[in-house]
Amino acid sequence: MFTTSRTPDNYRHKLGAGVLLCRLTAVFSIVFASAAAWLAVDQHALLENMEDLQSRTLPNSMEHQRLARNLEVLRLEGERVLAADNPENRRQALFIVTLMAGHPSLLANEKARNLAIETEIFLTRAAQGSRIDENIRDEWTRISRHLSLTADDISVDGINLAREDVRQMNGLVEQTRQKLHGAVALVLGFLALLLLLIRRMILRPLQQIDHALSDLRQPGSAVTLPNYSLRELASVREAIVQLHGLMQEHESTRDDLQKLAATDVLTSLNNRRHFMFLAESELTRAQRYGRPISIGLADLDHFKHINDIHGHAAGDLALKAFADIIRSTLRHSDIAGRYGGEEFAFVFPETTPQEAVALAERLRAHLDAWVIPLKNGGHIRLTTSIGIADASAQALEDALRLADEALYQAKASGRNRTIQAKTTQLPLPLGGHTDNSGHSA
Amino acid sequence: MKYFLLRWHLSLRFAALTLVVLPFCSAEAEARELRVATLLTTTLQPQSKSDGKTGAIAELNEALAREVCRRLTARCTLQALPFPEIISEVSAGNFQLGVGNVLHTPERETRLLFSQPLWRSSSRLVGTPQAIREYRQGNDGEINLLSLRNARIAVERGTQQHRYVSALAPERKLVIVEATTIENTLQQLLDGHADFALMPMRSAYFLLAKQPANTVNFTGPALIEQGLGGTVHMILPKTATSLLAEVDTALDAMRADGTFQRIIRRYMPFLAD
Repeated sequence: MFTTSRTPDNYRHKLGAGVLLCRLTAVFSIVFASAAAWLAVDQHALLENMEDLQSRTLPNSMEHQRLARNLEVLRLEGERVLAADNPENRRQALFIVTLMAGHPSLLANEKARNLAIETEIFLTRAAQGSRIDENIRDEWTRISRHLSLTADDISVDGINLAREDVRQMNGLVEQTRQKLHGAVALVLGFLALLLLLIRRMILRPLQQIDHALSDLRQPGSAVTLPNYSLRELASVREAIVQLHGLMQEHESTRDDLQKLAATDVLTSLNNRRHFMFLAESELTRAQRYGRPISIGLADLDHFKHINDIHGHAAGDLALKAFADIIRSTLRHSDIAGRYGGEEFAFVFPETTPQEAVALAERLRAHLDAWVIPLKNGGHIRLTTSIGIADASAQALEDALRLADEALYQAKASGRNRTIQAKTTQLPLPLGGHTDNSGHSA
Repeated sequence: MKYFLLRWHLSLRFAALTLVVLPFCSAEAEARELRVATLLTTTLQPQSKSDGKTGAIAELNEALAREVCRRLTARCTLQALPFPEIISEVSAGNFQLGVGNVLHTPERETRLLFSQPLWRSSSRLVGTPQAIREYRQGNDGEINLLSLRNARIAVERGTQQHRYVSALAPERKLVIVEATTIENTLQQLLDGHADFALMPMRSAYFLLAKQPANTVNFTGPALIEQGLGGTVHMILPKTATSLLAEVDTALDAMRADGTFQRIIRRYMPFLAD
């Protein structure tokens, strides 16, 4: 069982997710606060401008309008002085002219004050006269026009005062709007960058890790994960690599165990249990499709004699040599196994008994011609007796029994030969065809 | 039927209870009482209000005071006082509000609270034609308060005009003729006790307009320096800050809905604020 620490030393130099989050949060906070401060400056200026407009400019503008209106009242009362049809009306109008000419709003404006004084003096003298002649009317026309123009100028000045402030406010609002757009773009840009970083540093590695974990289920797969900058992901990557190594090791061990369980240790041929499993499967397949199949049993001749004369090591050497000859002589499709002691069993798929006999004969001949060198400088020669039986129409046990009987017959007939068992009609558990032809060699 | 009689009975009881309780509720809502000092313009009683000019300045002040009181939902008791008493009584807290053509000055601000401005005023000499003619000859055709010497000048006691002339008098050898009210100031002139009167123009207008022709006239330049002109306000005791805010709110509302302008127009042919 493997264990891994949460933050191995070799990842300490890498960036942790918590630290990354803190740094991103800090940067975002700074960016956002800067944008807010940037806007706050304009907002403050705008508020100051509005305050100025409200407390200074608008009252000042209204003051101009009042002054213009008072000048206009002065002019109208002047008209009334000259147009009055009796002295009392003229006197009353003159009173108002006097009052307006002395009004503080006019006195505070030099231009208006001088004009008001000129108007009052003129109208007072005109009212004192016996009649209003053309000269007086002409002069009054001039003064009246002057009053009107002055009132207009003052009124326009007042409007312009407010207009200038409003223009400044509009500029500030426009500037604030542009800054707001800039701030929004900045924040959006930062968010895009943040998402890009999250995708690159977290999401994509997670996807790669997911794929790698999925691939672990595939036998013989290779884990290819890049190095990650985040400490946690690097740690996960390392764990996956370790896990993959362990899984491969376990798979190899399992294969070895399976091989050990199915293989004879000395000859590396199938052991009896595995041979029986393979033979059963092959017979089932052949009988299902009505294909020919044969079974063979071979027993080394005088093997006990070899053991007795040359020792068990030579016996083992003989068994290995025979296994090598089996592997080199038989076809890849043939199945061979150590059946017990010096006895070997064969399955010949897609092979009639006659063809099997030919194969067995070739095997027997190879062994017969084979000289096995011993470590002591000597050598031994081996022969084998082989029994062949048709398995296309009978159960494995029956076919083996027939092959064994043929083997016994070969032994009895002087050894070093191959004998095909006589065909025996036996009932099959799941049907199949029978071949009664048989002969001995 | 029985059900309707029961409902009728209950409704009657509820109505009776409402009639008994409602006056107490109203009394609670209008419980505030204010003493308001207004300007006494004449010592002659009673004032005639038939032509809209006699005592008009006092009526204007009263009308403004009553409208403010109505908006404050206060029960106001108005009392006309000579000008100097308005300031002293309001300053002492004997009156919660003073409406008497009081100009704003730094000195008064130390003793009083001022409402937002009502209008503006300046001061000007008023003289008989004879006096104007005499003094014009002696002063190169010009009459100016600063150039007058050896003249008798009537002023209302306790006003800015009084303070100003008092300051000039020793050097210019001016004789101060003190008057108790604005009308009394003019009367001193008409009676020959004074050569000129220094009067606030807006108040003087109401008086001069009703005089026969060639009796009295404005003369010399209008003055706003040295506290002789400026903004006119309602006044309150120095401690009445919350009432001041209410008065200002009421004046704002009066200007906003045109009531203020209509009251002015009722007594004067122009606003000239």
